[in-house]
Amino acid sequence: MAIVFIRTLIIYFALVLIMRLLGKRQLGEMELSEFVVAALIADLASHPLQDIGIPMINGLVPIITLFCCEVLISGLAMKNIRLRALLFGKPSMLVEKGKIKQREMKKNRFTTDELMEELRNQGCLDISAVEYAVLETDGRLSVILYPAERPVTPSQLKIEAEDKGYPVVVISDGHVIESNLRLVGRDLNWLKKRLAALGVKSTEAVFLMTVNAAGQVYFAPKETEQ
Amino acid sequence: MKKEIFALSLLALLFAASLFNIRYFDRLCLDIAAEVRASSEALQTEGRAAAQEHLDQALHIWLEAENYTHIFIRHPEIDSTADAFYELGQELGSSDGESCRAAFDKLLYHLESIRTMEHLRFGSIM
Repeated sequence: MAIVFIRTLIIYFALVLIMRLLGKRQLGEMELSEFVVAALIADLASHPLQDIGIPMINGLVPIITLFCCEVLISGLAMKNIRLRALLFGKPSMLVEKGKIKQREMKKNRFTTDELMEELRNQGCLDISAVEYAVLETDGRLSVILYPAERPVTPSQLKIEAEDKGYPVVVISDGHVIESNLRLVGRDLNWLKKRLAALGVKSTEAVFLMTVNAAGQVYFAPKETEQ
Repeated sequence: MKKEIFALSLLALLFAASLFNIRYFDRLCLDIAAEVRASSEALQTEGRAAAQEHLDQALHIWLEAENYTHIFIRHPEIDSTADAFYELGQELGSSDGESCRAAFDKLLYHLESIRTMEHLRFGSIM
């Protein structure tokens, strides 16, 4: 049992490290090769955990090898467009200038139900409003509406939109994040004054507080336990 | 680019370590097999005591490499080889020549299996 316990810890930290090194893309939008690696790694890691008769190195070596291959392939693909197209494929235009490209749909094994579902997912109920629909290499569908159907922007209305900057979290669950305070050009004294103005005595009473570059504050007090 | 160089170096290192591993098992198993064969010959020419001495030497080499073998060989393979050692030891002490011959062959077969397990051949890869 102790062996399984220690092996699980080692495999866990090795996997976390490798997935971290593979990058954030691995967690969400996976390309084909990334999906293959993720699925293989998950399977390979489980064998030495289930059977202590298998040396752990038999699990770790393939994981490290796959990690190296993935880093190399994705690195090369970044530099070479042809290799990128070969490994990850090319985006497919399923709707072009409002016309459904049935041959592309068939080629990608994309049914009309799936197309309608994807459009609904993106808040589009009327396919006649779609100018382009592109099936991306990671399987997502990008939908571009006709200009007349797109949301109106302030520039189209010739309205000057106020840029309030990016809001950063300065207090999270009672903890002050000083680096974020400095990021918006504020300090602890400013924070104390703002909290006093809001009637809060301690940072521990704050659940979430954000500040943007314009100095606007969003404040949520901690709920008291009943 | 640093990441790619690191990955390539790591792959090269793993490949080199694999080749070292093959050589290590080659040497280990050939050394042990030589002692086992010497034990077999000693049984014919010098008697059981001399044969036992060679077998003990073979077992000593095998046990000395235990840490390494446990990292790289499936544990059932190690257990089978250890069983073959002790079986031969028992046969040497009590049985007739024919039983000993079978026990020698069994141990040599296990050693050969471990030695060739990691060899890069089409058959072993596929």
